[in-house]
Amino acid sequence: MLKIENLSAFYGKKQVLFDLSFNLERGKFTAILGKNGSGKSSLLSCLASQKRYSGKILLGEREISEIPPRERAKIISCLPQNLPLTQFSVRETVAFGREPYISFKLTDSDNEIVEKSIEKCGISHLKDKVLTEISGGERQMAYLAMTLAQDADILLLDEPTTYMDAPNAREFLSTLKQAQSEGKTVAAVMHDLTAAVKYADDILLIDGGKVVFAGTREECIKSGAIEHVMGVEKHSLDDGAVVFI
Amino acid sequence: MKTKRPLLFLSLGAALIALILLSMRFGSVFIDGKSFLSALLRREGFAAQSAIIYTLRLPRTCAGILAGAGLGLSGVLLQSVTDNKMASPGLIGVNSGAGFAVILALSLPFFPIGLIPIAAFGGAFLATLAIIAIAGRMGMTKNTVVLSGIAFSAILSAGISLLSLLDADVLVNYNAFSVGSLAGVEAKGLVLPAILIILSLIAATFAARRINLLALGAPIASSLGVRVKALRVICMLLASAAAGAAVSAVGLLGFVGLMSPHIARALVGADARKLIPCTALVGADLVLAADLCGRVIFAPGEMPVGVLMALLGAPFFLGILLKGGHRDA
Repeated sequence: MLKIENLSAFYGKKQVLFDLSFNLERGKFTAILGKNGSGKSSLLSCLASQKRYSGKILLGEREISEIPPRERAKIISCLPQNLPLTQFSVRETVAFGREPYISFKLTDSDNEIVEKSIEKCGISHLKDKVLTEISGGERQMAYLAMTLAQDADILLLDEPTTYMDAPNAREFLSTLKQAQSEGKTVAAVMHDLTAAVKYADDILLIDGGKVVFAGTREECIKSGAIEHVMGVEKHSLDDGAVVFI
Repeated sequence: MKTKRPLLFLSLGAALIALILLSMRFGSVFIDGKSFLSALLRREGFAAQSAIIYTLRLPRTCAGILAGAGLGLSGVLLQSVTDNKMASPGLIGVNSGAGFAVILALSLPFFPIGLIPIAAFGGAFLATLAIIAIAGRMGMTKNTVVLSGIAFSAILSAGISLLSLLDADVLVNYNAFSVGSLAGVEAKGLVLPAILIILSLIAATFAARRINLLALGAPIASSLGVRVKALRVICMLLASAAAGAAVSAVGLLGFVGLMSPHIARALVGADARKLIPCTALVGADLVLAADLCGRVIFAPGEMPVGVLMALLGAPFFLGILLKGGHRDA
């Protein structure tokens, strides 16, 4: 889906990504893992074309930075780590996801997509609430619903469950998996290693701005790359699940 | 969030019409109700009152509406661009740019006084362009816009101080401009400001959907297909054109650009599609009401609208601070 070739990026004068090459496979859920400051968020910003880079990020034959923003918004959506508290209602926030498609006002079809996205995220009861009136987890779900309403093929998310409790995080990731099952390609920066290997199909492990591992979840678990890079221990449970502590 | 408020817009519109009529009736010369109606309809025997209404009070009223709408529009656009509810036209160099250009023009020996409004508008607009250029070099983020505005305005303010020290007579004339007043405004001087303010208002209303997305922050707005830097520049140019046009007509009228968006936001919520026209209406109501008070309370003399706005605006500003508006910055 996205082919990344020799990607490098700078933060000011400091180089943060070094010659990265990997693929984001169509319809797969890729977890991007790494320590703080390893370059995960910078990578996501490059993939969303929100940060200057050298090298190539190809969507088919097209360089993503050359795609007009409005057209690109129909292909790639990106949810940053820090989500703003605004005075807009949940429904209005989700409806913003339709912006790339509308010229003057929302059509019936847009409204239908907005309602479905709200429903998928289980926040129908909150749709008339203002974002300042709901919890952090609920706000996160509202922004996920906005991302789903955007209906882009590729969903990029930066640490989407960091501020969520376990049940909310599970619900959030399940909703993402459902989106994936409907054909979306998902790439999420994640800190919860256990959740990453549970929900993701592929793992991209970054250290010091370089790719340390890129492959399937099974290959990653087998390789011991996570333990090596993140300094954690792996434990296998009776049901086959893997836990990192 | 408050949604449909057609009644509110009707009320603000009705208040504006009432203020227009009151503004044309009351002033240093008393005109009773019957004579006012006759003079308004240009009936025979009321030529003197008609002249007062049409040549003095009507341009003054129009100037009040334009200044209020222009400064209010400028304030709401800048508050959206910077995501800072304390932002006002002074932030993008409108006050310091117009002020510097006016004091420079007054210092020049052969500068025609009639061209002072053009100098004010030119100064305001050029200052904004300079601030855009500086902020652009630093990435045009909401913070670089604020910092560039503060720094460049400080340079221009130093220039104003320097020029005022060199010539005391210039300072006297500059003070009249810096207070902000609707007195002595002529109809012909309002044509260009009216065109600029109306066009800016129309353009901002058309851009309102996209302006809403700025509230979500640059990363999300960008992800939704908005050219964030370009939109910020457009908003700043519209804000500068509207405020520069207002300042060129009535001088440096403070606090309107700060107060109007706050009042409008309390009335219609954060949606820019309603907030922008509502702010323009509130701004017009505010300036007309303040000017009317300044004429009625101090009749047969008058207090410049700029002084009254400062008397109202300063406590309002403190109120926002105490309420926690600064946390949004």
